[in-house]
Amino acid sequence: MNRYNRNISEGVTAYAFLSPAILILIFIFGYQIVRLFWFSLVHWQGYRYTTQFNNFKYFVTIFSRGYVVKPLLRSFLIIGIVIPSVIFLTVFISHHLYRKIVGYRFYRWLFFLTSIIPVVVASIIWTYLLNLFGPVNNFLRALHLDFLVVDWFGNSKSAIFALCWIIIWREIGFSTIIFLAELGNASPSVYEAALMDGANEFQLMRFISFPYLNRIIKLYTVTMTIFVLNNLFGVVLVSTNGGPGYATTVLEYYIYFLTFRAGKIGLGLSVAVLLFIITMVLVVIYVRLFSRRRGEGVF
Amino acid sequence: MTRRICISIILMVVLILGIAVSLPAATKEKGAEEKPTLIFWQNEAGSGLAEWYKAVVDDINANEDFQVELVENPIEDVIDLLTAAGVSQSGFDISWDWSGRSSTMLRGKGGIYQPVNNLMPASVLDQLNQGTIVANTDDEGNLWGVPVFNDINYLIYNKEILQRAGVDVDSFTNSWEDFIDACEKVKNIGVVPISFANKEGIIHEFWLLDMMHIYFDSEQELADYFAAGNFDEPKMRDAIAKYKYLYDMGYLDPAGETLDYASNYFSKFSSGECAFLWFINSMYISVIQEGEIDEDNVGYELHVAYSDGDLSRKIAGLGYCLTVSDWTKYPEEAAKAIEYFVSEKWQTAMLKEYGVVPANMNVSVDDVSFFTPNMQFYYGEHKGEVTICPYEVLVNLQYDETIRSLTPYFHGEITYEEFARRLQEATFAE
Repeated sequence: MNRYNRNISEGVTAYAFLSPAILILIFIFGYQIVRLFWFSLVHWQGYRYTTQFNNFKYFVTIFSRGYVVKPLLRSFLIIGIVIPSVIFLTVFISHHLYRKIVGYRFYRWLFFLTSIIPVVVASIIWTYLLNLFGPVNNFLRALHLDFLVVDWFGNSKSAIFALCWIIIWREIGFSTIIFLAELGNASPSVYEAALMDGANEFQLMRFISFPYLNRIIKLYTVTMTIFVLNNLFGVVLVSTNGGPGYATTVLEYYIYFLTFRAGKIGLGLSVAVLLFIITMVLVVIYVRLFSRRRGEGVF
Repeated sequence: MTRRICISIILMVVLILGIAVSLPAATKEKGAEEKPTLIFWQNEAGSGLAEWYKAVVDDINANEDFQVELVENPIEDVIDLLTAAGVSQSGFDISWDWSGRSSTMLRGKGGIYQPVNNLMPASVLDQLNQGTIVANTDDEGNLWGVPVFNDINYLIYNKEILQRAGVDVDSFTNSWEDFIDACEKVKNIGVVPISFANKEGIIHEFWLLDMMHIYFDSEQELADYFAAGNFDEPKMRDAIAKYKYLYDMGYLDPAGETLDYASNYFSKFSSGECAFLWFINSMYISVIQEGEIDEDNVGYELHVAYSDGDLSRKIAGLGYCLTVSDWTKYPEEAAKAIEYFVSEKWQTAMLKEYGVVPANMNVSVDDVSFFTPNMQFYYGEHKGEVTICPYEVLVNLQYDETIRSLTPYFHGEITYEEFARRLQEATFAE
């Protein structure tokens, strides 16, 4: 068998072995995505879909009435706060754990604990802690620091920041473990050489650890963006239910609100399609930005 | 050889998938010859009436040539479950739902339920609470749900706290002046006047929407008001101003601003930490009988009446109803089953054993002395005088908009005009 035929034969064999998994993925994801798009393009009579094309009526409605603008901006605001915060905190924590500060094993366990707490439990815990008369505010009152007391979840200006805090608190643990694993590939001799040259810990973190983590930071940015856009429903529902008012109604929660609370299935589906498109566009942008040179970057 | 293995694997996968898809269909066909079974979604899992529903279902199953299978769902999941059932056009034959334009009627017109006018005898429907019938009847005369009971709302108070504050409990009335005076006195002795919990915004339903009926003379007038969608006008302004007054004066429990309804609202009163509670009757057993407060220490009044429409002299009640799914294969059997729930026999049992206000207006009890105090309050003074709760006549997104927009209004983040504009937009949302 010549080389060309052998290559074809090996390719066919590989695809044949992969085909069951590919078929399942196509059915579970591809078929559902196609159905999502299709449902957003047909007319809905209440809770029943028809086969009549709706001339993009629902998309026109959500844009012309500005329904999605504020939820989308809130989602982007959370991305803008959470991702840099998590990355900075994680680099800081993983660097010091790598440098084996005193009690590093305990801290490693402690930070990882936050990631194994279910998101619903974490939301309930922080809703209780940050309540206007919860332990945190009561502690501040006990210290006569009443001017620092904030109604975190009851004030529409602060609620979204409280939400960001819950996400950051919960994500730090898992990201620390990943970053720490990546730092495990770093050469200790580089740190030793830098120390001999008189570098302090901050300089070690900034000029050695941070570049080492460059690759994983890029990957993490992409995955966290997808997470914030598509996985905040549990946190929002439990902690604020999208309120006060609509202060924490992010795009994902808004889909639920339109579909289940308002009974506007067509509008909910069109927002879901929009969210899908936005997520895909952002991922493509990230991949292109982070993969400038062949062989570098995440992908 | 490799090629043969690949082909074998592919064929095996296709075969397994084929069996997996066709097996449920084959099983379904085989089951079709059995006695008709109707699925009944009892959407108040764990509620006081759970045993009553079971008893009625047992009666149906013992006496009819069809079976009813009871499925209990938690009330907080109801809307999501019904929506999912509507989209998939499957799940239940009979369901429990809140009555009203933005619940039963909305879901009925949206394709989840079918009208019950043609299924239920008129003689049966005529016996039921007509206010709830109005709330479930659309402009074309389609009735989307059969009333099964009403959960009346009223004001309860802690007598001991009021007495300690210097309020004459025996002469206390539900006038605005008496109420505010009592709140101020209670606040002055360092006790929270009114229990409050607002995380979900549900409390807006109680304090605002439940009280709007006092401005109107008839249920139809009330329904037309909300359908018209104009809220920058005296009635709503007055109602909001009264509620905001309570908020600004600090009569509402500040700790309840961010706490949820389930964890704070009832427990605050039940543990004797506040004076007033806007109460729903079905919570009597858990909040008062099983609570820390002494039953004899609880007083009862109608809603605070700061207007004098004819409906202000009636008790507002949220109606619950039973509905028939649009896709059921057994509509006549479903209607027959519902007749059991609204029969005099079972409605009387509901009243006597559970202290719940029946939808069947023919139910009468000669001796009310064995009733719990809350039911003596209803039957002693206000029997038959149940009107609909305004929540039942809200349209489109009015309910959600009200509970979401009142908080920013109270915090001074939006003006009243903006609040009214949002509510109007919610009225005519597509």
